[in-house]
Amino acid sequence: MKSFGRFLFSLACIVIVVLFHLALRSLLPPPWHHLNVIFVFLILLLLIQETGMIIWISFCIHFFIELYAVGPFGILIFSGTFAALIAFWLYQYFFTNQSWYTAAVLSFLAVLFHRVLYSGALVSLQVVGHGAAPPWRAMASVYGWEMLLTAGVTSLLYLGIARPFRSQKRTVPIEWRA
Amino acid sequence: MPTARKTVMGIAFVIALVVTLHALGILAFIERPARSLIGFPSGVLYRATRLKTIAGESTEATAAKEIMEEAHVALLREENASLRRQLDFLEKTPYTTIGADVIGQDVEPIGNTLIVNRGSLHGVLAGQPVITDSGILVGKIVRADEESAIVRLLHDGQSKIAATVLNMDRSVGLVEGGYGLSVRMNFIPQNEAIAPGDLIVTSGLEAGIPRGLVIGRVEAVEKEAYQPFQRAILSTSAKLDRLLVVSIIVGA
Repeated sequence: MKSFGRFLFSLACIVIVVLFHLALRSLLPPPWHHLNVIFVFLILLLLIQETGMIIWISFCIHFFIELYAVGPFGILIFSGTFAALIAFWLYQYFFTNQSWYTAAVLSFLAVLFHRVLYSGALVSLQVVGHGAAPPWRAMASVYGWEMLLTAGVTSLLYLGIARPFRSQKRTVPIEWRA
Repeated sequence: MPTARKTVMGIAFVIALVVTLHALGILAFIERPARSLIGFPSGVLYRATRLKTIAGESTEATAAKEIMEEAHVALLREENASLRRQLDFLEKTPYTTIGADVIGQDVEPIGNTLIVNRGSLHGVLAGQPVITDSGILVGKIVRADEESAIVRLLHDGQSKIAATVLNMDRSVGLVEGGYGLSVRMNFIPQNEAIAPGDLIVTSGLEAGIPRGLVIGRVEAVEKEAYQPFQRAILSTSAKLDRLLVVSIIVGA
């Protein structure tokens, strides 16, 4: 019963994050509407909970987003999930301190890897004849804004909200936790 | 790092499984409630963000209707003079349309798309044109799920519509997006005269898109010497960032 309750709570959080992401794209003026709320949430969750579950949470969130995406099914799930995995590895092995600049760098790199993997998947599909050439110049501009804004907002939120909730400074490497 | 390799392979396997199940339609029992879970609140939020911009739309609707009437009269005149006399064509009957509410907009930062609450269960198919209630083209259906569909707007980077200029030459070209909020008509023969203010309509050369749907007006013309084609910068007649209700032409 407890695990079912946790499952429902997790599902509700995922739906709220997706709705928040969609709503902010309509609410915020440019260039703020490029903010990637999903990775803000994932990186803050990683810094607070220090859990590898962010990878599967990213999988679920991007599955919902994929239902309304125009591109071939699976690209966003692939890039979002592996970007979360890379962010988790970076936090586990490189950025081992918990600070606002760790939050900024992690979120910047997570979005960067997300977009690199996404663009790579689009190019691969174009090579085999599925889909048109993406507008690279426009994409570079949009993704640049997305990385900067996501990094900035994540570090601010970490300073203001997440920091009081984080666990004690860890002295042992973190492991997978369900 | 063997653990890392196992992790990557495990994740890749799960993603490949999900994509395969989706392609086979087996995941429909999850996707349908997921879309319902997201669709309704997304629609409410979208409309809330657009309400403040519709206050001035009553005056804009009048101007749009006048543009539509001007285009319709010009086309009727042309069809009466040539096609009816030579081929004894009957004028096309009005289209079959279904109304749809806009429940969201692009989920990806690079796209210019809308999500509407009508899908394949209502007769919506990919490639069908989407118009406003004044008969102005705003885009095409790019994907139709069971109860929702995605509309690619005219100014999206991958939008391409076959169009005609209502000038003396009835120049044909391709209206393409990807230029911010404006669109461009490319591949207009260099020797044909177009001028700012000319009306642009769909040419009917594209399957599923009837002739005569208004796209916009020419704002500027770009010509280069020794080039075979010229291009026109257009302003769309519809406010593509303020749409709440659209119509989908399901039978043309």
